[in-house]
Amino acid sequence: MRHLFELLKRLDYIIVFIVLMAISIVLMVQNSHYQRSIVLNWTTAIVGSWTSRINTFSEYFALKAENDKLAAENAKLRAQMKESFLSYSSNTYVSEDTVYERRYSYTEAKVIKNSWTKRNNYIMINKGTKQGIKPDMAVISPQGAVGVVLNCTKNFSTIMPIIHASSQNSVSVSRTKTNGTLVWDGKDYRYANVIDIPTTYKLYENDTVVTSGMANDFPEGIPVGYVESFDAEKNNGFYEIKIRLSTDFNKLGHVYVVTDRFKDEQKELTEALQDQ
Amino acid sequence: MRGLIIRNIIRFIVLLFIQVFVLNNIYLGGYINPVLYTLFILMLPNRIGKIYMLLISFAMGLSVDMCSNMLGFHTCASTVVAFCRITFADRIITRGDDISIDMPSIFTVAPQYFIYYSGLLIFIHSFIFFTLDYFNFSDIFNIILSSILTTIVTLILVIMWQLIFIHRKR
Repeated sequence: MRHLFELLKRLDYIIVFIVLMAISIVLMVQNSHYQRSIVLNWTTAIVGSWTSRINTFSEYFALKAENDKLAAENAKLRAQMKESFLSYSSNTYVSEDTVYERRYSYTEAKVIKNSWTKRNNYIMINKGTKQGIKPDMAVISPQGAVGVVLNCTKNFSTIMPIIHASSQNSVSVSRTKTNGTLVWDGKDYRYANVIDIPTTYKLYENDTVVTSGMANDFPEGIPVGYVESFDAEKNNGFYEIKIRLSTDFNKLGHVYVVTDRFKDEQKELTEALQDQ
Repeated sequence: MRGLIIRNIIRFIVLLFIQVFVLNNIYLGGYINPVLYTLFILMLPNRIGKIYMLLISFAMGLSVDMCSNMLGFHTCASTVVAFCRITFADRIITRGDDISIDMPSIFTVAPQYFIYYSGLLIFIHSFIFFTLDYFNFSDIFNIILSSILTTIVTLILVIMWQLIFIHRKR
């Protein structure tokens, strides 16, 4: 103890130095926006959970509430879009009110657990059966398709994202409307592969790949990604396409769970087909 | 002792004025921003002790910062310079001998050692200052280039200052 005290006495100027440095860095960080943002980025990268404690500025708390509100409003607006309604094309219905019947509704949810570095990634959201979430519902983000609900508890659900090694989804190239299958090789969360697109259709880089709506999970036309590279050299008649996913799984915050009101009807038909 | 304190206070104020009103407006070629006020830290008398040296350097940097509408940049650099002076730079001018030099200047130590000593400390100062200013590793070449050019210009100013003012006092 006495040695420690003597050591402290000898190193007193180092303690003063550290205190003064801390003061000057705090001054710097608090008074210049650029430096503050970079320091905050660093600390976020090191310990994500500490950021909220560092952000004691009230405006940031207000921002969070604002974000929640905006996400809820987006879900509401999305439900009013034309694509959310099923069109009755029959001429017998002429009344404006019944031309469209609601097909999709959207539930806003917050991602509370997310992984993107593994081969089999999962996402957990803060909505469950209590809020009407059921397995096999599609999940999308403002950027594009995310995945399919796997399991639900009362208040939480797990999602199998499209970056899951065993996920397979029906997609189409939006320009040519050719259908293919989206698979993921388990390596890089930013890229995925599309198979089963015949080489008879011409393909360009940066072609948009969207969900096809053929499998009864995703609504039609949700963006999935953009063609990064492709090759047709295997001579089996199909492209091997690498796409850049439009959803950034690293930065997933709010997602929307899509409720398809006609899913049961479609399922019944499919089952009837299989029974025959 | 009292004369020493008054002289240092005057030097503090004069250097602060020169730095804020003249040198901060100079930004030659976008690279050079001379920091003559480091002279004050370089010439602080050793007899005031390590803690006071740190505190006074901190105050010097803080004053320059507050007068030039930024906070923390000069403060940080000045504190580090004072710390470097305490820990190792003083050994350059004493050359490992036990003789202690109270106020390092071009007349109290051999000129080449003084230039080495002040060049090193001014480089440390400008390197830290520009690193904090750019705050981006991809600009490392700009930071080093700015630091070297600033060090050269500041060193010339420091030597000129000493030749003009210190010589007369002796």
